[in-house]
Amino acid sequence: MRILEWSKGAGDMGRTARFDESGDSDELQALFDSFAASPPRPRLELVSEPVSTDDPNDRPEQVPAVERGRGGVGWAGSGSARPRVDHGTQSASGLEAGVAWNEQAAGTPAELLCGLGQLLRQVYDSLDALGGECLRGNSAAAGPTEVRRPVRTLQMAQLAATRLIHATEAARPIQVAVGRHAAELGARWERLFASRMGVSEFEQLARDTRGFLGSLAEQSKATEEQLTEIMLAQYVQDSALPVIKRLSDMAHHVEAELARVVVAITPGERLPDGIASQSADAEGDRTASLGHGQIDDLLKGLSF
Amino acid sequence: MTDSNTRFLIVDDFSTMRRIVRNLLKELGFVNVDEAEDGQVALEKLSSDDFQFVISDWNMPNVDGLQLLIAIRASPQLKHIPVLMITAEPKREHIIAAAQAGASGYIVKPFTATTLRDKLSKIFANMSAKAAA
Repeated sequence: MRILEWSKGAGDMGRTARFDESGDSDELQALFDSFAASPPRPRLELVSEPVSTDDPNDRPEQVPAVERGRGGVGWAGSGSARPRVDHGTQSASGLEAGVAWNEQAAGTPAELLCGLGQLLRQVYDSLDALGGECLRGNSAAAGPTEVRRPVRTLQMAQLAATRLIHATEAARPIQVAVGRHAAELGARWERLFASRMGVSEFEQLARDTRGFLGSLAEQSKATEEQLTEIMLAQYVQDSALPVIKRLSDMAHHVEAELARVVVAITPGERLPDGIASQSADAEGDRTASLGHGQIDDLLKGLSF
Repeated sequence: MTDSNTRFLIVDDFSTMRRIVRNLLKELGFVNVDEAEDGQVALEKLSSDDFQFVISDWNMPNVDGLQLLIAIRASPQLKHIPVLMITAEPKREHIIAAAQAGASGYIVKPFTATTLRDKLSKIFANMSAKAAA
């Protein structure tokens, strides 16, 4: 059994900068330590509210119960007792499952307000789902926080791209220098084997080769650190992709729903020809098949 | 002082992150590592196999990291296992929630092998101190 003993050394390249970059700090660590000193108080039972909807995003937060059987443990929640899936990797299903604008009932300012309110709720819920590991129930901070979270993810992706380039730029000269030094030593060794080198020159070659080999381990470690940096930056990029996709899906959905609102409150005779004619075909849903271009036509036709 | 044979369970729904943590652990000398893609799979693995350390992401489908932590601490069979929580946001409420639920430590993404080493080292030191007390 091998025992590792760790020690901090000068070789910890860039530790402070990266530590700060992640947002961690000694203050947070001290805060964690102060709370960790208290004994944990786990909640052991599922706390379920009556569930009136099948939408998992509408379900209350749950805590898991420990299922003891055959000496094992497991998740004891089932079906409606599962915790909400709160991921940027989801599709825009939350939006699609939301309350759709009822254009047939639209017309009055109150109904218009109702439709816009429903749309705002869907946008809010989608931003909430984008938030990932947020703590629920902080209503005072919820609004701006929901908006900041995806923004922060995208900012981190931008930062990761910069880190990736910096890491590549840092690793390349190391490898170039190693290659150049190896080629230069190789040429000198060729001269030795061609019997075109004196004793003193050979002694110098031996010293230089020894020095080069000695420096290789350090240069290899420095390159490895940069490769790790690239790998970490790639993770941040990966995690940003679902956020971008969900924001894109949400934008398309909001566009379509707002188009429904506009069409619903606009008299048929004022609608552009292509859109007005759809009303006869689509059983009342005049925007069901509206594409991005048609929405542009709609807005132009209404002088927007 | 740390046993390099310590068996780790890495829990994260992003395979990229699991590979990163696995590679960082390898860099630190730990090669006895298994992976789970969410808290539910982790609990199944913990119930059927012997692990000495759990490193878990916070935000995951099905059973998230905090719920996994709570389940581990509520289990007589598992409650002794140290759990290092990975969080994407260095927020005070996250840190407090993790500490109150019984996390052994936390780490903020993105992090390096050095940071992971420091966090693990601190947890192992705390465990040694508790064992000696």
